[in-house]
Amino acid sequence: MGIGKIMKDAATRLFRKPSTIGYPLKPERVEVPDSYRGAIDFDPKLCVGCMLCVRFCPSGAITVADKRRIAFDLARCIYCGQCAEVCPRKAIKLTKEFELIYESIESFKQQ
Amino acid sequence: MVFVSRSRAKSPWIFQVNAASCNGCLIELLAALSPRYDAERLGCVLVGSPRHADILVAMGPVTSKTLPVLVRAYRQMPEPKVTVALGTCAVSGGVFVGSHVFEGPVGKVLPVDVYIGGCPPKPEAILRGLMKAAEKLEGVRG
Amino acid sequence: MEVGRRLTRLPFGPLHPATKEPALLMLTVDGERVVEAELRLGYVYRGIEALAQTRNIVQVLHLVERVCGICSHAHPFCYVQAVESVAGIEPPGRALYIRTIVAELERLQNHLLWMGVLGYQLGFTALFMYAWRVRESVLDILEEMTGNRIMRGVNAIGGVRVDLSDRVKAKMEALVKDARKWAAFLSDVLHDKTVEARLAGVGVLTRSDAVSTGAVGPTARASGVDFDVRRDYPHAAYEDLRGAFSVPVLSSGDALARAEVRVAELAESANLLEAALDTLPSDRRSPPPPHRVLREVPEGESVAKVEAPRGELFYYARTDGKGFLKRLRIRTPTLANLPALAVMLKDVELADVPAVYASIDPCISCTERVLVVDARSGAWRETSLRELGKGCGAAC
Repeated sequence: MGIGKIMKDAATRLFRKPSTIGYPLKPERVEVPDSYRGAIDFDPKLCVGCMLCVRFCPSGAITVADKRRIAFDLARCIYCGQCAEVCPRKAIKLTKEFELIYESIESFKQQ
Repeated sequence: MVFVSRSRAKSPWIFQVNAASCNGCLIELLAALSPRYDAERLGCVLVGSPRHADILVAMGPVTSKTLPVLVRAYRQMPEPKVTVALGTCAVSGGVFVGSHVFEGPVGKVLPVDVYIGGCPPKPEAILRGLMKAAEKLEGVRG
Repeated sequence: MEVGRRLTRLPFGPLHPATKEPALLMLTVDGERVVEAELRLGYVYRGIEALAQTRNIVQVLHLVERVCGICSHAHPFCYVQAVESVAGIEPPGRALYIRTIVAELERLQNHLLWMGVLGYQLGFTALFMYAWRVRESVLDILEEMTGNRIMRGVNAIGGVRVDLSDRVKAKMEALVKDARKWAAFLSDVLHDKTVEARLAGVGVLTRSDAVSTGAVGPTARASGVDFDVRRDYPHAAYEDLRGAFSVPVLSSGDALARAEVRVAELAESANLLEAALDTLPSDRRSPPPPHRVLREVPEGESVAKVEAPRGELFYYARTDGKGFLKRLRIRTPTLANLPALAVMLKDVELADVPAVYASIDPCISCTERVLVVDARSGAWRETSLRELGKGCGAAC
């Protein structure tokens, strides 16, 4: 009886819109919700150098370069959004960019 | 030979090694094979033996215990082969950098061809990464 | 051992197609029958408890989330409860409800995932495809609500980092109806005669064995142990929702019973979700900023437990009063269920091993923080199941 039921479900599926998305073969936009935590967008003009993000980054992806300028290493980033949360000036934003595919590890570095 | 390498890229077989990953990337890789994303339409098949595989997908920070397993699986794969580092842990170690069993990311142990970042990456990104790996496979003449 | 009986030792792993996670199951077989099973762990050991002592309390929140990618809400959920009880922080009611809602959504997706994996192990790929297709709709809601499908990062010390919008709430209400349909459908599929033939009477764990090996969660409930942390030690919003759900308990203790308990839990999770959405309080209050949390958490120690999808999850945390942890101890449900697995695997046909192995829903990456260090020689060795069964002793 169970098999009959799953067969019935499979048979009705034949006539419905497939649940498979067209991406990446067809140029189809992927529905990414606005809240998605993707690649980091940092605005150095807003940064006041409080270093809270460096202190709270769980994976050490944020480092201090010369002149208290911070740099993000997306290879280390775990996209938790903790830096964006603690930033008092909202200089750090997490974008909807989710395709972080590179051929070398250096390409992950930002700024 | 062009014919052979092109056919290979049309149906790359995948072998996954969970080198101490937290399962997040593993589950997303399996989700990429589920109906919504269906990596099999790209010709990707998840195989159970490294000897059948063209693409090695390694996940997780490599620890002292998984290091020999990962290297052995890579050596058992026939040429040509392409390695994919899936997820932040495999790319750089992520949160596990500094652990006393952390041996370095996958890139330190094996030659990695494609890095897919994200913790974990979306299945869409995994699909795109696998496509890129298949393109690389076509370039590597075996 | 009888004379003339040929026993073979058969390694099952560490990279085995049936077990996606690296774990080595050493089986001693007599022909096709398993005489003894021994699980060797350590492949996914990442030193998380030691790492936790080097990072501040807020960083550890994201570290424990990455203990396990499947129950990635249960771990920080338990951790924040332990830290909050040290600090005496009372999170707002809405935050407790949101944590509960995400925990139940996680249980839904975990049980569907597990159902798919079980189907895969049985060679019933249609079930895998069905379960994983419907699971996507749970993940879509979680992604829209929290920003990631897997690592949701919902918890913060003293509250939650996300809020529940009306749009997501409406989607969840629709999901509740769907979840009931899935549960009814999957329960029918389980009672098909081919599935029953593979699962019924296989890998039996009796009630006394379940008690003596300390099994938890659905594994124990399928053997007649009536225990659920959500009901017996209510935390977060479960106190208010006590009347909204019941705990399914079965007595046969075989792989089929473990599957049935999980399917019944799908429906119960739907009930809990519905009740939680109905009575969601509206006191929106953002959690205290992390730098204040670091200052305010005093020195102290505490324990917390939650019902993770696989069973009882336990955290012990001792803080040093400077924003760091002196000690973090995690006891995961799979660790508690592994000695029960050794009992189940006795006298099982070799072909049934993957089904029995899958039936406890093992999550090796959760469990892997046990490593025995021999202090004299400095040598490390992994713990075997036999030692764990003897009583933890040195292993912990």
